[in-house]
Amino acid sequence: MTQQIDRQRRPRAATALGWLLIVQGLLALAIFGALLAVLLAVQTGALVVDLAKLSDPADRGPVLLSAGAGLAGVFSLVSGVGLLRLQAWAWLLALITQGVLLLVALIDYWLGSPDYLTLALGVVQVYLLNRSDVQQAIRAAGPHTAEALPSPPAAVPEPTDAV
Amino acid sequence: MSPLTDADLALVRRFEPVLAFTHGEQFYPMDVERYIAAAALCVRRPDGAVTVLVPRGELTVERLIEPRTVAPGSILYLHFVKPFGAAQALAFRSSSSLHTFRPGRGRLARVGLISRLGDMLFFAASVVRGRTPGGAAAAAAVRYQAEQAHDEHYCYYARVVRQHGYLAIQYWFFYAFNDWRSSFDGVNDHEADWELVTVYLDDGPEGPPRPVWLAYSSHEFRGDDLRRRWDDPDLRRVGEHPVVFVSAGAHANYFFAGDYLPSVPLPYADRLLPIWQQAQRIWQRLLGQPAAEPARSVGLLAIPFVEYARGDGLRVGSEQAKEWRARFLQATPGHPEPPWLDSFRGCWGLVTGDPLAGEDGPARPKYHRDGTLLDYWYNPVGWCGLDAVPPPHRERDALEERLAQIRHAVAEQSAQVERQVWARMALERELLVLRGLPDMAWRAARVAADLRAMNKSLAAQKLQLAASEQAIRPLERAVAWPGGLSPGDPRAHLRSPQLPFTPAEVRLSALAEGWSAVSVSVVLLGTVVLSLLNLRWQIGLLAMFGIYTFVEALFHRRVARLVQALVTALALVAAAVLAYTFARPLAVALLLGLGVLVVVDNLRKLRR
Repeated sequence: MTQQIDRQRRPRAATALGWLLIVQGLLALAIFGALLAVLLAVQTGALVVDLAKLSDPADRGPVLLSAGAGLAGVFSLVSGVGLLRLQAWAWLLALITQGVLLLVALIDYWLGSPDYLTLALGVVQVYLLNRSDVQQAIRAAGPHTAEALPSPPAAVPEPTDAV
Repeated sequence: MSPLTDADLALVRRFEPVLAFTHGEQFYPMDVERYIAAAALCVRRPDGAVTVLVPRGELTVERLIEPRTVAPGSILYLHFVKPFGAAQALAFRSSSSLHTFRPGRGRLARVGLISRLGDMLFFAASVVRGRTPGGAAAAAAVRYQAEQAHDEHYCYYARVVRQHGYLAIQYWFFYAFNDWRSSFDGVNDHEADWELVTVYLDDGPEGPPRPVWLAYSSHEFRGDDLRRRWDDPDLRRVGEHPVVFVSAGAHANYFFAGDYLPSVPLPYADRLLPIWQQAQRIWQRLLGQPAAEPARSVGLLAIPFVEYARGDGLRVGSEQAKEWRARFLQATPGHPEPPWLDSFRGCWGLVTGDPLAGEDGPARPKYHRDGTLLDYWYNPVGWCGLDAVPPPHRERDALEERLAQIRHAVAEQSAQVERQVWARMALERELLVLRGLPDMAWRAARVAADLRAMNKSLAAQKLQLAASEQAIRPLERAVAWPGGLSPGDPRAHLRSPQLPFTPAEVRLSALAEGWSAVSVSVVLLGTVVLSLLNLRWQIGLLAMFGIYTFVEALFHRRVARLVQALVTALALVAAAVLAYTFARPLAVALLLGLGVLVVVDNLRKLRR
């Protein structure tokens, strides 16, 4: 029943956004898993790599990349599910996640190794997150969620004098 | 100008406002004769040279209005007082009520960095662009207060005008000095100040005039937001006397007590407004992004200033500690019009040569500084947008007039449609005949084209006619309604009225206030240090502004809004990068899509 109501009042943009985040999260987790597997295999000696190519054993790049992908995956997945349930915290979490991903992707682009997929996904998701119908649906979903969303300023606040 | 009758004088007295001042105010409405007696008459030539025509202490109204010949481009002005030195001014400040005036917490924290920088630049610019000397406010206050000690009275200048079915009672208030900048951290100081409160009465043929609207002057603002309906439940009144909250130093008039944040737009900012509005339309309509209030000014290009209209000081008017002395700007039974009103075309206070004119004395109540008539004077109903609202006794007339206009238009449109229908029938018959004649096929094609064009135009005309006819019924009902139209929401005309700060906005911590006091200097010093270090200073500058913005958002409880703005900005940059990188494939894809669409559409038509 609750699911039915949610589906009725959830705009299509919110549904698309939720699924997009889930897919993005799963992809990131898959990358995280693959990287982790490779790292473990190298550590345990199951995978033999050319040591000359690993010139700096202290290089934490692959570890950081793996951790970043894992975090992004978890956050995307959680915010995607939260958005399908029209939770305000999920909206903010999705926004922050996309902000961080976009920033990293833009720095990568600046440094000459562009990640156009992340850029494109970020643009689409920020567009959907900013849509007024998505924000209205989340605001309408419950009073406990309203605070997390920035609301427009009141047009005519009440006067404060006591004459 | 027609002389006032006894009935007009009674109305002036009946609705005279109560002025509620702020604690710390030094100047109250006075009569101009006392000001003139204390002032010198000077002339400033276009080259900036100043000549004293009548020295201080020798000026009278008669000498003021004597015919004078001055060089073209020169400005006549009154110069009220010789400024005090710094020590005298400080001594005055510590002994006056200014000493106990408290600006209140959050005075600086309420505005952002841009505004604080603007404020600083504005202040710095005033040093070079001409300003009322420091110490002038203190000298003027001492002089004015000495006059009051000798003969204390408070006066307004009334004027009654009948225009567009309204009877407008203007209450003009003359102050010896505007000390907004020097005493209350405002925009400007200048000698002499004229402000206005207007009560609008419904001037119908039946029954006595009754109050319907109020309008208060506030800086150079104009339009609907400056007026309130008499039955507005928010309005404060003492009997039939509206209460006006006068801002400290600036003497702008407000409907409610409190601290305000009026914005002074920068020169030429309005030219950017259409571009800004277009961007806002694209953002909201095309991209479906959240709607905001339609922009009426480019926010970043206006400098907001805090203004205090608390009503916790002296009150003048009916049932208050101090009473009014009424003076008039028109002839009254037994008294002529004041001679200075028409004959003195100069400024009432020192002219400093400030190109923005903010520090120059005004030429009101009738004129601008350049000698042209002031809209308050010749358009007493229109300056606050009231000339778009019929007075209650003419509401029905206005409706009937509109109804007659629409009926006339409907009759004309109806006849036009009838003519068009008849012409189309004739064309249709011609086409029928021509279709049977193979040698006249060329003519048939032309007639068919004419018919198609006529069908289109006829459909549009019929739609217009139907819309006009549809408007008649509700108007007829409104005209026939026995009690007249419902007045509706008294605040419906307001778009962006000046309102005092809400308690939530004032709830800023002492830490926020402290931060605001030092932040501009920190940013400026930080910029200098970074540029001297020459080590990745761009990143440092960016980081500094980032930290600054975050702290500001934290104090104003706008972190979520800040995150949204930052992420949206990143997305816009990313979109620009993608558009730049994939411009060619995008264009190809667009053309390909269009091509496919056209082919599919044509195939569908073929199958039909």
